[in-house]
Amino acid sequence: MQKRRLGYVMVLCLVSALGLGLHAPIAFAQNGAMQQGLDDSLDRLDSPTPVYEPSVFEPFNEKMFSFNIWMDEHILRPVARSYAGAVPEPARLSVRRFFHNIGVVPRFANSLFQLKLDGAAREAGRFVINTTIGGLGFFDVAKNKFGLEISEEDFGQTLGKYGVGSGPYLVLPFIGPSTVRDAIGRVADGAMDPKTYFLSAVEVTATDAGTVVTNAVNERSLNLELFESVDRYSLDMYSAVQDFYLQNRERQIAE
Amino acid sequence: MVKTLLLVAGLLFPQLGWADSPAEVTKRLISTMQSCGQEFGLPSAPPQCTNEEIEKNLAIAQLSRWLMGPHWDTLGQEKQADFISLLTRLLRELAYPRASEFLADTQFEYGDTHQQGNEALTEVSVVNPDEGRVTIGFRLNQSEGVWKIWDVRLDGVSMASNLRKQVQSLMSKQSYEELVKRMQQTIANAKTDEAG
Repeated sequence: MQKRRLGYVMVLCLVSALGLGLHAPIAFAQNGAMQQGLDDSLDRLDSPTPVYEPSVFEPFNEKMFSFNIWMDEHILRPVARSYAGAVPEPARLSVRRFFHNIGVVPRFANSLFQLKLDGAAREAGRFVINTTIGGLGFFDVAKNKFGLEISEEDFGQTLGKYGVGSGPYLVLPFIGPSTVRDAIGRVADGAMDPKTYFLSAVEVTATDAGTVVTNAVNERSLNLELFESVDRYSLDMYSAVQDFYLQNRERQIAE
Repeated sequence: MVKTLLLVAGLLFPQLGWADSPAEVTKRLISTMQSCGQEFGLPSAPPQCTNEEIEKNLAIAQLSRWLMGPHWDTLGQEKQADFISLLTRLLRELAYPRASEFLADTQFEYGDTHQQGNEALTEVSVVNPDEGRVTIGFRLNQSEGVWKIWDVRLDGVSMASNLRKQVQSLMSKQSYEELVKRMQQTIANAKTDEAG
């Protein structure tokens, strides 16, 4: 749900240009939480616009951004389109839930690290319920029957919570937008994966590659139409994606 | 007679306190768009469904200046006017029709309004039959006593900031001419998609 929600927000950022374009697919804020109040961290219309400062990795980032777009256009999207034609949407949503369920350990651990005990308890409860009566996580019984919402926490957020700055913006091949802090966070989250303790490095890499590819194709298939208009409605896609990512991460850490 | 006098006084001296509050401006914009629905821009649309009616509630000129930031003063009056006009066209082609369409089937719950000097944030919770609950923050600025909307925050993400980042990037790495070209292309894309 979180990835889908992020996708919606990103597309909205790009599609609506200013934001009055409340394009129909807005399912991202279904938690019903009101937004932050008017505090000093928000821009004001009479505050000066900061001078644009490119990331120190800008040349690398632009190449990686182009590479990721190329990969998406020529490989991921065609494969996802065929997959979407063969597998009905409810099944694809179940696959998404399954992948989300098996990624419980970093979410649980990072909820604990951030002293979000309620979130950690929810993640533990969700995993037990969804793995058993939710058929290995293909069904989100924990949310639908018990009202247990996801606690979407990662190590990048944990670092941010304890005051570690984001560092320069970074675009990673295959993965997309990140920062130095979030890239380190991804490595830490990966190290929390239980299979790293009982499988060899080669086996872990092979398993992860399979998981990542399947998950990527599945996610892309669920956002086919959504992403196709992004390029047409942004003035500068690279900076739009960058800004969306950084704003969104800031919000996640503040929550 | 008294009503007429109050109306005239309100129009002439909005700073005295008769001007609409941030919440009222937000409600007016939403209800205008809501009443238009998919008919926005069509000859059959209700009389309030015009771009001008919507733009009464928006601070487009101030937003243009904010988007351009340090580049604004270097543009000169003619290019400044051109940029405001282009931004207005971009909003007309991309934003208003889609917003009207979305808002037509939507129920609203108005939340708190936070005000700090001449800035305000009105929170709105939206329930769409297809999309469920959505929260939106409308940012307003008060100029000469009149509140106008200049940003919308979706899930805490500022759309105006996102657009500013794009404008600043193009102005720094490319040129004003390239920015204009991209804006025109985006407008053309929106028109093509609308016609299709």
